[in-house]
Amino acid sequence: MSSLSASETVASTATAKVIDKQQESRMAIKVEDLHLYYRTKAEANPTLKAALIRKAKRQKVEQKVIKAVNGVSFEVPHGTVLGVIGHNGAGKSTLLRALSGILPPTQGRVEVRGRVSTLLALGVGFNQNLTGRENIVLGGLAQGWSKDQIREKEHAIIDFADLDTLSEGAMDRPMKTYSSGMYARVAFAVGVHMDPDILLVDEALSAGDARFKEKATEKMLELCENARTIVLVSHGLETVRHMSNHCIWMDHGHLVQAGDPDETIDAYIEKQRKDREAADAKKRAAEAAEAKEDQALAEKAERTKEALHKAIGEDV
Amino acid sequence: MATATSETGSEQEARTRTPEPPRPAAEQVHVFEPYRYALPKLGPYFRDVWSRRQFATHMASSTLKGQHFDSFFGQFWLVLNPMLLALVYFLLTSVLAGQGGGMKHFVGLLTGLFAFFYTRNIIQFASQSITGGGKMIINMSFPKMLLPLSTTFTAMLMYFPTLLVYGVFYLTVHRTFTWNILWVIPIFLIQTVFSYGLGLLFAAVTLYFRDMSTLLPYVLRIWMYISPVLFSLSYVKGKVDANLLPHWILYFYQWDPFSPIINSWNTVLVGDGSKPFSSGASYAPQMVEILAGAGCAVVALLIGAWYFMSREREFAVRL
Repeated sequence: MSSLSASETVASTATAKVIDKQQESRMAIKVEDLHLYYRTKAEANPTLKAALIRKAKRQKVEQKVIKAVNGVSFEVPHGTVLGVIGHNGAGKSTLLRALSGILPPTQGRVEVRGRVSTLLALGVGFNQNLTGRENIVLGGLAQGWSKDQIREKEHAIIDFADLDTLSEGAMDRPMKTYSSGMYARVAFAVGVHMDPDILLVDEALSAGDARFKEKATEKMLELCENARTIVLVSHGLETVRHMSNHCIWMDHGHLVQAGDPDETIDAYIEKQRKDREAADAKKRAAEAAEAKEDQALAEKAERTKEALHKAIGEDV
Repeated sequence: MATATSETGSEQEARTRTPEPPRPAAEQVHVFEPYRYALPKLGPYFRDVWSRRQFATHMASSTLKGQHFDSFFGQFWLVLNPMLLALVYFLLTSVLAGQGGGMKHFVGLLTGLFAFFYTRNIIQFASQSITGGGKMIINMSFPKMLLPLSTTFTAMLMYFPTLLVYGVFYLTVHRTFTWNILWVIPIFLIQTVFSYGLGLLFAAVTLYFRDMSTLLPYVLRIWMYISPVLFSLSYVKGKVDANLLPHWILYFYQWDPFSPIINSWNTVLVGDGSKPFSSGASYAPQMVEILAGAGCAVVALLIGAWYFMSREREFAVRL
């Protein structure tokens, strides 16, 4: 058995290597022990004046380290829709920015294979004074596309944004005249039409009215079917459940759970419920303690009153 | 044993499985690791800059379009604004400082002023490009050098119409030109590179010291007075010889890195430095000055680009 197992290990390492290589090429995103810290200085607005004054007074800037992402590792194969959930400030958006290469990791390593397109905020690179049509070109160029490529897609983008049904000829008016929903439609249309291999989306689906949201969801599903990889950060748990086939849950910069979306979301909801209950219980306990104190005070007052009555009565 | 079989199974599976359909873009592998204050890999960086060049030029023209500078009155204002400023400086230099020469003096002033405004615009726009491009920087990954590059194109687009107007003035006053005027092209390029280098430097510095944007206009204005823009070198030399100005002022004129560039520019357009603003002088720039200007431009670009690029990965955190 022992000799067998030895040969087995040799064989299995060789196999593992083969599989590793195969998997490597199928991996879209590989995150290894990612840490990302923000160093916030006490000064919100760094100025030369403040720096000189500090120098004269020989002070040092107080630095506070905020650990936005704290030791997260995971892998995403091509064709996965990864949902990222967690409370506000859990580090979801920071994680996404690290994946897109905007924020450099403090520690660890991120490897991304493929052309990345980001939808972290809507209308990046847009100029409010220009028309919707001109902004499509501008937004596309900002995403790193050539004018020819944009010209090819322009029709599809305009059709998708579908502004004409809202207001005739809106595409040729400056974007500062748009409502926020119309603005979001154009921005979203530009973002998803750039057919990236990897799309990183941050809460962008919440833009627009119900009809547009449906359309956006459809488009995202279509992208997923074309073996695109999508990382979706959202508070809309139902959106994540509906769209993703893998899910990670982050809490205070840590990865709590990764796996099937249903399980992860249920666990997250359960945790949230427990948290809320715990908070409620705490609140109730605090209230009870307060009530008790109030009662004790009232009793004390009553006693004093009685004592006074007694004294006055005796006096009288 | 069971695991062994399953593994061989998966091995066979892995071997027999047809490889993924080729996806050309999948060759793009980005690795992000902790940053140091070091230059990024220059090859991929400049390839990325090159592939996004249309973005820089288009954003520049869009910025101007957004400010209605593509309309007639917009263009008109682009020209009128420096003309009015030139008029102010003309009054200042001819009435207050007593530098004579009438219309020729005015054209000479325009030459220097328009050129200086171009450099000033490049530096000032660039210094605001990073702090002003916050939304783009924290939401997108791209070579940040494109933002000052784009504002440089903006400054260039604002400069060209003033040159046309200047050409008209020049021809009405001088009524002639020599082939030496073609020197304006290399001098223009040298000046652009020089200004862009400084622009990169100030773009990054402004991020660390935000009050730089208030300080910079004053620095630039003082710089204008101590480079041969308003007062030619010979004029200042004359004043120093007559003991009207302290001697040390000459050092500024001599060691100002912008001096060779603006001097060559003036020489090509209005004649020899020793006989400023008068026709009949030589219009050929001095080779020494051209080379010194080119040297300054390269040094400015290298310093600016090094400072900017070695820090640009930090920009998103600093904003």
